[in-house]
Amino acid sequence: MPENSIGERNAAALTDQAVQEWLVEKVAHKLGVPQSEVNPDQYFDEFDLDSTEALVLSGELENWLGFELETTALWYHPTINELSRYIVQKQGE
Amino acid sequence: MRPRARQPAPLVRAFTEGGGQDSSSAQSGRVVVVHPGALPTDHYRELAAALPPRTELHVVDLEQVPEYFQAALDGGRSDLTVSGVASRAADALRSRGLLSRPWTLVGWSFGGVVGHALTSFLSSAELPRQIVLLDSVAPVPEYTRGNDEIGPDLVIPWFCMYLAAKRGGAVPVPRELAAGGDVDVDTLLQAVLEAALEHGALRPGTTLPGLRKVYDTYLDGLRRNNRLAEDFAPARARVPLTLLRPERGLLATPDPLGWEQLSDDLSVERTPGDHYSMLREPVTAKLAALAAVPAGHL
Repeated sequence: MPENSIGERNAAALTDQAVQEWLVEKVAHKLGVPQSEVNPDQYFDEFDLDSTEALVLSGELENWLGFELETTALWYHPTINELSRYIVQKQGE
Repeated sequence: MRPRARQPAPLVRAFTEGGGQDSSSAQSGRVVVVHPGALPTDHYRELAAALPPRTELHVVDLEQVPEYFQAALDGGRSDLTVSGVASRAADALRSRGLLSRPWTLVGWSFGGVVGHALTSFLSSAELPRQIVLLDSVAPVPEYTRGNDEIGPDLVIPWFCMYLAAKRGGAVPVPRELAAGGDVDVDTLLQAVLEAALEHGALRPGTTLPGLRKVYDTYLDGLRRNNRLAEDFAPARARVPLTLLRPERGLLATPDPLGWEQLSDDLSVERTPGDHYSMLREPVTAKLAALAAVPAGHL
C-alpha cells in the first residue's frame, strides 16, 4: 500500500503504474469508495473532489514523490492516467 | 475551479438559480456580479434569490480569463493588468447586449476593483446606475502592500475564514498566532489543520503537505491580486458606490477601505458574516439586493 511519505516510497525508479496506484488509492480513500470504483481515465473534475481537495491531493502527491509539481499539473493532465504519464516523463527529464 | 481539461468557457454567464434567471426580454432588471474566484459562483445563490422578481443576475467569472486563473497557480506572476481584465469583461458584456438597459454592478473582494475599472470602458449610456462593493479594498496606495509584506500574521486568519466558507462551519485562528512571536508557517498550518479536521472543514485524513499546497495557492492568488492592484491607477468613480462591510472583513480599518478616495458619493453599510461567508448570509444577500435594486427601481 503506498504511503504518504517520500521516506516510505520505494526508491526504485518511478513507473506509470506506481503513480497510478498511489493516485487511485488516495482518491478512493478520500471518496470513501473501493479502489475498483476509481476509473484512471475519468477527469478529476468528475470525482467528487472540489478545488481545495484537488490541491490537497497535489500537495500530498508532491510529498510522496519528493519533488515539486507545477500546481497546474492537475489542470493540464486532468486524469490519473495522464498525470501518471506526465510525472514519470518529468522525472526522467 | 476544479481540474479538468481546459475548455473554452464564457467569461459572462447568466446565473440560472434564484430570482434572476435568463436574459429574455420579459426581464426588467439586471445585476452583474464580477467574481474574482476563490469560491464557486454558486455562492451567489442567496443574492439571486433575494433579488426582486424579473431581475436577471449575470456573473463575470474572472477565472475564465486563462492568464488570471493560471497566475494563482504560478506564484502570482502574470503580465495581466486590471485594465486589461476589465476591458475584456466590458467587451464581453457589450457583445452579449447586457449594457443596453439600467443595470447594477456588484463586485465582491477583488471583483470590486475590476468592476470599478470596467466602468472606464463604458460610454455614459452604458454605465451601471451604481456599484455595490462587497468587502472590496480600493486599489489605492494606502491599501496595497509589497508582496513580501503579505505574511502569515495577515493571511492565516483569512485562510481560516476561507476554509470554513468552502465547506461550512468555523475554523478558529490558531492560538499560536494570537500569542505573537516568530512562529513558522507549518506550525501554524498544523494548528489550522487540526481545527479544520475537528470542525469538518477538511476531509478526514487530510495531511499537512496537502493543506500546505492549498495555503500556498491561496497566497499566490492574494499576491496576484495585490500586484495587479499595485500597478493600477484607478480613476474617480463615475457612478455612486455602496460598500457592504461584514462584521469580520478582510481589514478592520475605520475608513471605508480606501473607496472614499475615489468617490464623493459613497455609502457604507455593515452586514453579518465574514469576508467569505457574507455571500451566503441571507441578511447580507438581502442588503446587497436592496442596494443593487432599490425599491421602485426595477
